[in-house]
Amino acid sequence: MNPRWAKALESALGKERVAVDPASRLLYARDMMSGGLLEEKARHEPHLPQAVCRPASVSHIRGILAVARRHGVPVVPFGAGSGVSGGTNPVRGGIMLDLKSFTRLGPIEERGGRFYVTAESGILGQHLERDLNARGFTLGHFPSSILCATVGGYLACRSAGQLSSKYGKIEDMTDAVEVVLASGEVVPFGGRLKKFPGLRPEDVFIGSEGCLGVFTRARFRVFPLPPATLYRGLSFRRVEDALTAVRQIMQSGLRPAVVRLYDPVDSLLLKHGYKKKNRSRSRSKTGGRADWHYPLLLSRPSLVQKLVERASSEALLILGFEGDAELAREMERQALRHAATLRAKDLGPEPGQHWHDHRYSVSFKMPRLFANGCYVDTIETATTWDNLQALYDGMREALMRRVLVLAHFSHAYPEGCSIYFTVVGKCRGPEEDLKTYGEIWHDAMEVCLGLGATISHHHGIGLLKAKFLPRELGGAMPLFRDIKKGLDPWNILNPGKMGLGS
Amino acid sequence: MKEHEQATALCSFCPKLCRYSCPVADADRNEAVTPWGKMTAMKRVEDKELPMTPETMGLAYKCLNCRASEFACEHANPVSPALDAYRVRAFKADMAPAAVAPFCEKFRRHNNPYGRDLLPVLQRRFPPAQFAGADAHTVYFPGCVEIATDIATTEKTLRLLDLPLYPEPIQCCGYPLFAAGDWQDFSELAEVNRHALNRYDRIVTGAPQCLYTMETLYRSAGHRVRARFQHVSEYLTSPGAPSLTRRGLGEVAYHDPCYLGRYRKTYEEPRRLIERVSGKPPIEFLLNREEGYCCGGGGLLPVSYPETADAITKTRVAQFRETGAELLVTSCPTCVERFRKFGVEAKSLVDYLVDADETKRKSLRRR
Repeated sequence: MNPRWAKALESALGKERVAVDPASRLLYARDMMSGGLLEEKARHEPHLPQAVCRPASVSHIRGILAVARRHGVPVVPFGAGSGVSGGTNPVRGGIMLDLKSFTRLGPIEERGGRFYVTAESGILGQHLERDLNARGFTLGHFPSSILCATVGGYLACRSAGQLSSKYGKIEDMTDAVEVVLASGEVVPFGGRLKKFPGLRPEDVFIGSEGCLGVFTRARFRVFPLPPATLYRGLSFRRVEDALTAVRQIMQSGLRPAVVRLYDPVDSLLLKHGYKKKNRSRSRSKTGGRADWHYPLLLSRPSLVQKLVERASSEALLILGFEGDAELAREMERQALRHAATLRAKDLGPEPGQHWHDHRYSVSFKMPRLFANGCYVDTIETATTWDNLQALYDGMREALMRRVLVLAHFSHAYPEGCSIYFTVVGKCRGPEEDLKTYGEIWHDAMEVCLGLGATISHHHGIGLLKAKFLPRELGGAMPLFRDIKKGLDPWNILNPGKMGLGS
Repeated sequence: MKEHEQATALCSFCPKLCRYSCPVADADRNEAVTPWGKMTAMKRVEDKELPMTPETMGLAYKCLNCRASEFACEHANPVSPALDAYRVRAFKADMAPAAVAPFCEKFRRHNNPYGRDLLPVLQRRFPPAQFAGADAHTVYFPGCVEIATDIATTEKTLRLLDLPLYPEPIQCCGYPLFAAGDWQDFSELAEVNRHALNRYDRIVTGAPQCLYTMETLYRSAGHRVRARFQHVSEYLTSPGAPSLTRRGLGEVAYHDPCYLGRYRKTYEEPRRLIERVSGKPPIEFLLNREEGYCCGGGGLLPVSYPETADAITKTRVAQFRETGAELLVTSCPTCVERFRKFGVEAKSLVDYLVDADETKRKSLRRR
């Protein structure tokens, strides 16, 4: 049955921009959070929105928000639904506000020797990068979701790309944002928030996951395409040695574009991958064919983990350097010098090139695993260098009992580094899987909080980590709640997320 | 359906990694029409979690059959064939988009989508001697789109290739019926055509969609044609093909038709031919070869969802304008028709090659 406010939406936007049919509602009901996929397998009814709106202008958005305020209806800003934390799941129903009609891309502007571009929030990351490349530029932002995430999604989740060590995270490359508030007021580029004039809108809204406002466009710093890119693979006998090398490299002032350190299990998979590189470029052509060996291997994850780790303790480090050819060569030379002091074995450029050629492939593994009796999820955390080894050990200990754990250290900075854990388990029954999944996340978050690490480096908080955010923010959580109350006193924007409760 | 169920399951667990490649998703900007959305909806219908309604089944028709998503997928998950199978189900249940049933009705009257017999059109234009006789081994099959919208290309092709015309009353391969989900009528037409086609050793056509239909889809309907099929670009680059005169011409951009490119992997032959007559390779679209963007004419989309099809063509036209070329050349009559509809100077490959050749001869005569 159509909600009573559907007519008001249709008059604000036009009938063709409002969908209330069952298929549309179901297809906007969840993002790509692994827990959501497990719920789907368990045939749990998802929270459905009552309507899906596709506004094409800021005035359309203001019209939707006016209807929402008048009728007390939740509004969930929506990019492409590729999030992995349940950030766009309409837990209280309402209106999905799909921003994919916002796709205009401005010209490259030069200001003070730097280059900028203005992009609307509905542009897909891949399309943005492709169009920038055609003009000789890059955003320098390569998250593994680049194929399926929008610019608005990048901003909402404070996303990080694979070259973040050089270019920074999305907040580092964002010069200005335009946001529509729940009141319908538009905060334009360079504008101030009336209620919080001391806060920069970029600092308030980037990472707010649609709870504080709706991104309509942003101005990003962009970079001329690098004339040279060099890759290097290095093998270390122990993870600890490799971490020391990465820390030395980052703290020496060198700025590699790519820093990816794979722990022994992940290294084994990566090495297996680049040894058969000629085969792997050809598409598998297997479609949904059963991969019987996955569940078999994962039936006793801790045993498999021990066997693999006994076979090899080697850690593989991929380094990449971009920019002026001479400078890149010199940075590479200096980095190799640091690695040599820790007895690293130089594997040449091949592993790095292989990584580059397959840098988005890992996401394709997810559907295969899910379709073949397994589940997989990723947990990204970060901490300072002095705490990194303890975090790595603590997380593994907490998770390995239930699932196979792979990890890589990426997004390295002078201050610290992110660890990206991939957990893979065998499905044992829909309800049992959901219970295990909940326990995995609970244990992982407890370890992070216990060690003072962050519970999210770039996947956002959403629904998945909502209950843990108040503990991470501590005394800053009331401030966050005050900002929410000040900007959205009707609590219509994405309610129930980020620990903002009711 | 089992195979398609596996395909829909795989898509439904995927974080929409191919969506950037799908022209329909690009045009409609709606989750429901991404390859993920369409496949997940079909899975949900199969699982009885979504009702089978015209609105839901209409999603199976929001596909160009362009295979862009399959090429973007590392598993090459067959999205188009799965959606085609659901079209058959929708058609049987009378749940295809509203325009589809009348379209098929019209098709059945003359065995083509144009509402008139097409053999007389050819007979009026060409003398009987140009039609294949009993002793012909190789024939040229122009296909209904070329006859109805670009018969000048048929004329030029016959001149260039020196081949006789396919002389049968049915001048359509039946692809529109297939894309409509009308499998029964498609299969019957395929059987009739197979008998006629089997009189020849080789069928040459300028329509890659017909080529795929007659060579592959007929086989999947149980009507294997024993003749060998060739696209004109393949024929003209094979040994013994007529020679072409070289002459410097203006800048042309080459558009890869989906059924010649992704379906047949014929990317280089048309480019080589263009280079042979113009002395330089064609200008490339930003999206070319495997990444080529559909013209909007596939999958019966111009019939089932004309607004979406038009939006896609406009996008490709904008991409053409960005190349800076004066002329668009492609190897498919459907693509030519789509581009001309939106004001682009578009030519079929043969049209371009013959014009280039004749311009050269005229200039030689003048000297």
